[in-house]
Amino acid sequence: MRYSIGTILLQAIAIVAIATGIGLADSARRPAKLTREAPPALPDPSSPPNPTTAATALPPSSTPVAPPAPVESAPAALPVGHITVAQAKALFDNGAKFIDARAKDDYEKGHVRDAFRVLQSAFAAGDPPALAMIMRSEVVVVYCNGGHCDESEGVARMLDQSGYKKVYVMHDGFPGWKTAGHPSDTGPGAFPDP
Amino acid sequence: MTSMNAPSSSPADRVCAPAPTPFTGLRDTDSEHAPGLAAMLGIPIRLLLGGIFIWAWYTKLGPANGPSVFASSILAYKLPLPDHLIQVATFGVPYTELVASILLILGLFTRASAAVIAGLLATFIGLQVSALARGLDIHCGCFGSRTLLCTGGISSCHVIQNTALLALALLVAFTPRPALALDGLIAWARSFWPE
Repeated sequence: MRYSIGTILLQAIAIVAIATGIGLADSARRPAKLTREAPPALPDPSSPPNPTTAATALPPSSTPVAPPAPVESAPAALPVGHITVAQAKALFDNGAKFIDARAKDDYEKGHVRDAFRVLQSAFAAGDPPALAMIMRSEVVVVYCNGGHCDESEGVARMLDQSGYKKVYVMHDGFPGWKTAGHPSDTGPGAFPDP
Repeated sequence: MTSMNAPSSSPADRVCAPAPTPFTGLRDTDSEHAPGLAAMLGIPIRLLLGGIFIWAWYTKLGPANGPSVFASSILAYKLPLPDHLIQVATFGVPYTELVASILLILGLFTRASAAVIAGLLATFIGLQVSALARGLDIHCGCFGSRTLLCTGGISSCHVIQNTALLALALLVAFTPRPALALDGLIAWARSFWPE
């Protein structure tokens, strides 16, 4: 067809306008708005975090908000900021981001689905690139191999210093997650830590 | 005897000299001829660009992905944008990629679709160069949490990758008659319409 530059530009503008309209319609049907939220207050250190509370502040997700997870297993004996696998799963279902603080080999053998791999040492030169994918207002769950491993504690502390204020440690780590049969993947992730 | 191309000072020659060819820009100047090499090359290029940008939409907003990852990527560029524009960009950019890609593959408004893709790529290149100049250690965000060819944070690799895609998009945008395109079908149908 014989089109002038003006016609092509008008068609291009129409394409952008229609596509943006479709995008805004999609935005309107999603459950929440994306905003630059101010960092909320730290979780109360005297009690384990309640996933139902955290879920209300989650960023929008393409999936409906899951019903609150039971907290019957909320263990008073867990260290401050630690959560159970059941609580972590409730956060996972509501779109929380997971960070694997273990070594590359462990990560590639198995990790929580879509978890980013971030080592504590990666904070030495500023925020690791993977953190660009996580808003500071989002709920973040860090884990390592469970039990007495310190890596997740270290990464959680660094995240807190970087402005992430909804950071929890999955106490039983990936072994507990895997035992519970929750979604996991193998192989390198999208953001391999150098 | 004076050559047609040789300079001439004779008034008669000046009157009879052919008029210079006007600048045609994007106009279709060879619609009477079969699609050329550029138009044939445009077919795989359109499929490639269309496929890449449909995948880009999927990684940003597809059923398996929420918009927060892409919104985080936009925020990471530290642009002085109000929240409502972040919202518009988070949803507008991926859907512009999707619509333009579908049209590009179908060959409907082919040149305009390629121009839209080229505009997006030029914007992405500008943002990446800006991020590099400001020393931002951030992820591209071009494909959600996935990558195409370049991995890791923004680097010159991303700029080169997008520049190559931009060149392909411009080739399609400047090709007068795209081959194997619905545009041709519409033109053929319109030839039956009364003037």
